[in-house]
Amino acid sequence: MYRKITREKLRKWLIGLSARAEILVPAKMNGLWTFRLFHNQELPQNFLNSRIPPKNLFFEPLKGLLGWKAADGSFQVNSCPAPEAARVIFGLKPCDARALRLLQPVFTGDYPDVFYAGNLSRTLLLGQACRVQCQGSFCSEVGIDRQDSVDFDVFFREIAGGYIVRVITEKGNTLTGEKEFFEESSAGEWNSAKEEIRGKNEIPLFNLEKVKAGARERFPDEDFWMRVSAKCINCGICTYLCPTCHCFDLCDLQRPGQGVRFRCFDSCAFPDFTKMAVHNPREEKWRRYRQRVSHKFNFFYENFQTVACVGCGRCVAHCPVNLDLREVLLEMAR
Amino acid sequence: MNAPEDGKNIYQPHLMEIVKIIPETGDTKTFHIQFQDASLRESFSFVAGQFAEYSVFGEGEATFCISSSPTRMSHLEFSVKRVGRVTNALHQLNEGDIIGFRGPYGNYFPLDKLKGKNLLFIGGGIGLAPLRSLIHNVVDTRSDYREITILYGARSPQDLCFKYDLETWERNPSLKMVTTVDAGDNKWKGKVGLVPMVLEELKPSAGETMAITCGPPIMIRYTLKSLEKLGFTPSQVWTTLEMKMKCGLGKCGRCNIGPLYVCKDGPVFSQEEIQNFTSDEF
Amino acid sequence: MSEIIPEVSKDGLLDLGKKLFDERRVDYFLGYKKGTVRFKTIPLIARKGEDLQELWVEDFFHANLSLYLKEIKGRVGILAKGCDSRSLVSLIKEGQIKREDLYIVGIPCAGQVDPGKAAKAASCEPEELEEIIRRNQEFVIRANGQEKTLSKTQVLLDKCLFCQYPRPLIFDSLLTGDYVAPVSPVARAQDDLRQKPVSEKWAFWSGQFERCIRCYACRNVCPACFCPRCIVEENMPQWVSPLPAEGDNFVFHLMRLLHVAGTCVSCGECQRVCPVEIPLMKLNEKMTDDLRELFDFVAGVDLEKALPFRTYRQEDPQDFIR
Repeated sequence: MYRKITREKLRKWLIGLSARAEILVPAKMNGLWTFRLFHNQELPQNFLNSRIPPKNLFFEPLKGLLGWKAADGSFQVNSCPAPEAARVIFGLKPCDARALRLLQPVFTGDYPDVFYAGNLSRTLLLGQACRVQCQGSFCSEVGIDRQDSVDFDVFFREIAGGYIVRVITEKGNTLTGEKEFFEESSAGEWNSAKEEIRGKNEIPLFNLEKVKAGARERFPDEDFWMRVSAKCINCGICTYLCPTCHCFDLCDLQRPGQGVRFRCFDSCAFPDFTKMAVHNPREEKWRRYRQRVSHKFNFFYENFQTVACVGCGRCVAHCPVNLDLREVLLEMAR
Repeated sequence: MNAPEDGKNIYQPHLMEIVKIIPETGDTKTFHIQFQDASLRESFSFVAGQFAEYSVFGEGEATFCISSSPTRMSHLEFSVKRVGRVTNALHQLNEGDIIGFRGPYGNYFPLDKLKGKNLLFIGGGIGLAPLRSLIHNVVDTRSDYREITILYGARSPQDLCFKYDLETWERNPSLKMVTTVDAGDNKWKGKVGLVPMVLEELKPSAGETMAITCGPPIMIRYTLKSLEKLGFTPSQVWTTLEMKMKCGLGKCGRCNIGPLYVCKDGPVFSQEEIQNFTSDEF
Repeated sequence: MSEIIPEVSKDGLLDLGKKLFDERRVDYFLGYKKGTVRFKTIPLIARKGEDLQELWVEDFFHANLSLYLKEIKGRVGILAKGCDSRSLVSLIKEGQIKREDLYIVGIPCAGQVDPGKAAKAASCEPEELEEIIRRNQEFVIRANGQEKTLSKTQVLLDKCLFCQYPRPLIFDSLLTGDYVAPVSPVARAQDDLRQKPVSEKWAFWSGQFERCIRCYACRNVCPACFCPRCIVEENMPQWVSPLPAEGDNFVFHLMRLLHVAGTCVSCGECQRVCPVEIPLMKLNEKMTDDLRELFDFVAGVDLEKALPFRTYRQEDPQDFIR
């Protein structure tokens, strides 16, 4: 189902929704695109993808899980409440939304995590089609359509003066059904709103099937992994800016008489990540780099039948030493 | 078996009281713990080989197998070697103190495959802990198994864990118990020698026998070689693997060996499975 | 005494590198190769002569290659800009590397481009920058199909505008070229923040550190952060928790700052690689100024002068040490 809305009416629609939900929209803060609380402002046009992926709004970098209190000889543990308050995020990109879906079986499969599940179910996901190919990205190579997606509730394509929207879920249908904001549109109008992506890779960089096969074949090739990881500096940028990386640590914070257990991000790039008392199975840098690439293109695929990479390019664009995942994948695909 | 309830926080531990602490060696203690919640004492169940996450609130969680047997449910037991932050904190605790417990997690020893067979347990040091759970279990259901041999070794007589169990098993006429140390002292009357060497001396028959081993990585490596020499096939040999874990739930991303997560797909693996691992990172 | 400077041409650099390997004078050679992302180059870690085939020293060689000396042990050939050579001096003084294990090839640097700054001056997003071309004394920026001419001060990293050491302080040979500062060096203006009341400074840094994601790129890219085991990873006792919360972030950054005092040569790599763009150089510069004012010390400029952290003087004006 397709509908359309003018730019001004979209703003008013969001203002209306803000009475019932927290609204997050793209905004530039300290020079970085991010998602911020909506203050009824004009919605930005031509915004680029956020530096920090919106994954952080669902799987938080720091999340209190439970707390404890000791008083008068009694000891009590209480779970932190699962998030429930309704929320709307506008301006999500197809890559990042796919990432949220990829993480679903991890967090909501066996042993469902109420925090991730709660964040997903409380959020109305409003996506927007891309107009430019982000630096370092290879989204179409991993099967992301930058102009279309069903990973949202509603997906927006910008047109002159407004948007054509594709309504995907029932929740999206109900909320965009309000006649004073949205008009009915058609598949024809939707199709004609498709735009050329600026700066796109004219020829696909690699064939994903070959990458997947290469990931399995290359796994035992220690020389390959040593060579490609040699310049890595073991920082956590690629994992912390990644929309699909989800390794975490559990940490306690103790205050007099009470405390909180937090979940916080951790990174397979860090030497101590797998360190045990007597040995560390991934002591060497090349093993850690191999783990990151293999997890995404080999193990995750084996366990969940999809690669855990959406090609957003953040790790490529922001690596301090320009260790380019695309080059590694390309070499694996050979 | 203790499936998470809908809407429950999977990271939230149950509170358990330490009812007894047994010093095993200079750096190892066994804790007997009891659920605070009376209904959990009734409903909780597990299978030998499973593990849990234990909390010292304010210090964090650590992973240990449940070293008591599912056939003896008056309380649970786990054993801790002092090596890091949480294990140090556990060693500071006293009887009556409260800890957190999440579990049971992971797979377990394949009782169905062990039934009707000879069992050969080979343990080293604190590695006896997971085997001990299974040993008590098979002793309590003795008629389901044929001959049972236990080979246990430690560096020195002072490093032997579960001495009270070793004594009971030695007195049990339905078990063959062999204890060895790498280096004895003037009081030591038992065997002296490394576990794999003593194993080769013992020459257990591989026919209709399942070997279950756990111990320091170096011991396991040589034990596997000795078992192979003795004619054991990889499907007859079982072990439990140790990896760094935080969540125990297949999410936090540490304990994988290739695509397998030791917390969910393990910690118990047959040698046959291990041989087919994609990765040697364990 | 007249100085004989062994010069090497760009074409000769490859031969020099190969010769160093052939004569077994080096086990590694650290250089740069062409980047795959705009305005970046890739650190090249050559293990044999053939690896040097990819050597590329044209532009955007921001990286301070001495960072790899933390990890690579043995005899190392290394390219060094004037500013990078201060790190080498610093590391030699700290006993981290031996001068005789290094073969240093100084490279001329006409100033390193700051794409973020250039984009701002060209009123576009950094991602929209298509090309940054040096043309005589200016830069031509192409973004969104349009060209703009910008001055060096609008495009170069701030540190390059204050460049005091365009020529490496120690080297074994120099790549041919001009060893002059990209612009006639101006004194670094004092940070506005310096005059502000503590509460304002606190508010400023709280806002900055709140963004920190604790990726430790600032620490890992820093040549001065050479501890084999960082206190941040220590958990018995735990001095800093891994929680990316304001308090611990604050402790992490200030602790790191103090730990590199006297070794930090303001190469600016920490700020350049920060994925959330925290202006860490403000802290480094404050520390540099303090070291100069209080200890008359400038890091990495001479091999002789004692390190402030290792100096004890009877006449110390403060009495805590006596």
